[in-house]
Amino acid sequence: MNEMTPKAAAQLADEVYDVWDHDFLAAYLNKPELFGTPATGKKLEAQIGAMLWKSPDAFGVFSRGGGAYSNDLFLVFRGTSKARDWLSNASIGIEFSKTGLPVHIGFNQIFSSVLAGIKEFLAKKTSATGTIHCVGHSLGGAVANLAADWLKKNHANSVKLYTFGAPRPGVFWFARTLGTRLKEQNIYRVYHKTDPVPMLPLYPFTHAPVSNFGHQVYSSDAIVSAEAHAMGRYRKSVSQTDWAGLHGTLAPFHIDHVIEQWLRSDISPNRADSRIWEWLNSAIIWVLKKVAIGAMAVVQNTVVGLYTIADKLAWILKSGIDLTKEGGFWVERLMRKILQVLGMGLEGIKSLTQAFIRRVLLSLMEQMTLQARAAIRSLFGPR
Amino acid sequence: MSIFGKTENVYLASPLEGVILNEGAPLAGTRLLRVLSLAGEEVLEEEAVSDEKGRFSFPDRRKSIKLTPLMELVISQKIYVLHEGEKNLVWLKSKRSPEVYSELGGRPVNFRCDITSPMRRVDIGRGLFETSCQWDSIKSE
Repeated sequence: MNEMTPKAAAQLADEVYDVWDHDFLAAYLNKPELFGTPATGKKLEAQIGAMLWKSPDAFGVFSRGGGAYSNDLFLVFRGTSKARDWLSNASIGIEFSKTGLPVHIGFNQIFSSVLAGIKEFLAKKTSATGTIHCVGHSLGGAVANLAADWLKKNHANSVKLYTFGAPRPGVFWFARTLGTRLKEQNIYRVYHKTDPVPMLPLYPFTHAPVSNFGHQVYSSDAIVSAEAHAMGRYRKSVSQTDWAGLHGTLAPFHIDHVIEQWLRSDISPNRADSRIWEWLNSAIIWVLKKVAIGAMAVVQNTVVGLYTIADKLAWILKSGIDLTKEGGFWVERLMRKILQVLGMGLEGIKSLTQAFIRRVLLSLMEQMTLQARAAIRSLFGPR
Repeated sequence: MSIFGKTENVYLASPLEGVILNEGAPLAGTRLLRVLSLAGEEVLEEEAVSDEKGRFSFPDRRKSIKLTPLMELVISQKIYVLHEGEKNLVWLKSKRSPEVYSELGGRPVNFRCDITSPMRRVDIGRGLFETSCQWDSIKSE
């Protein structure tokens, strides 16, 4: 078990933002506990054996470990200021990854831009047979997910994945396969429950690991807050704890009968609840399961573009209404909750046409994206 | 709590005064180069020259930036001493917060850089930091 501590992983994910050139790369690698005794002075350039890979949308720092990690490799990713629109509606869609799994189009394209660097680095490090550690915050975390999947598919090394405040990188099929490939205990997904970014994108996108709730860390915010996404906050949150102390907990919206009660209830949902998007996400999944057996597989199929995802969901829900009276009841309850959360009027809910359902789903996706985009846009500052 | 943030005066660099030495002896008339960059892109280069006692100073540099809670503010600072045709890096710092003196957590007392001293890692606050310079204490401002 050559795992990094939460503190070490968070330091790598944070300080990778500091690395712009070879000088900062050398300072980054000056961590004897991970990378061994640092080379000094003029020999540095020649001895470093590490790589800084720059693509327009993402940076990667790749290095062999030292000391207790001397047989290991480290791949740390971050997004760049150019990549600020990765949560825009245009980039949300599903395509097949390099390993043949359905993933987020935007993240897949950014991962593709760093893959050449990963291949070049690995070609020089064939003697490292230990663990490959993939690390990243935010967009860097999404890229780390795809990198971990590609590495495990193509290399015999064991792979560990550490992410902080990462969005959902692919659909359920991807998340489950990644968990099987890496083994779920090798996935360390850290998130504040009030961080908006891990709540995105909405279903059918899914986090790995699928069979537990990752490593949730305490945040003092009562509502969804952009501050909860900052890497500095994550570093503070994990500085005093080990992985066992970071286990995520079962939330009410993970429990089927609680979701059922919530949908049945006439009480208007609390729009300020920090987890309101998670409630809606769970409710959508619950209603899809209720109205159409096999619907899940249909949604997971490759579709391109946010509009297509909304089309597909609307079509399934509409089919559910037409099939049974009960289906109609649940779709109506779901639409009601979404409209209430969005602060929209309930007109149109009586007819429940496919176009109406599609419009409501799109409004929801757009509203969520807008909230997180404003946050992400600001990650890299003005300009 | 707003994610839209507010415009603030960000210190790209705090004022810095010190002495430049060569094996403990003051280096007079020596050029120093400070290179600042914001998010790895905007670069500001400026020079200082040491006096007969080896004293040098760099003024503060500020920029009006719209800061938001989510912004990963990254200001890169490098200081080189140009001596006998060599460019010696004596200061490498990633400044991750906007305040004045956030580099060291205050104003350094008796700040001195000897070009024969090796660079070392310094752990003060956030951001990568290596320097060969020394100081006796930090005065909170």
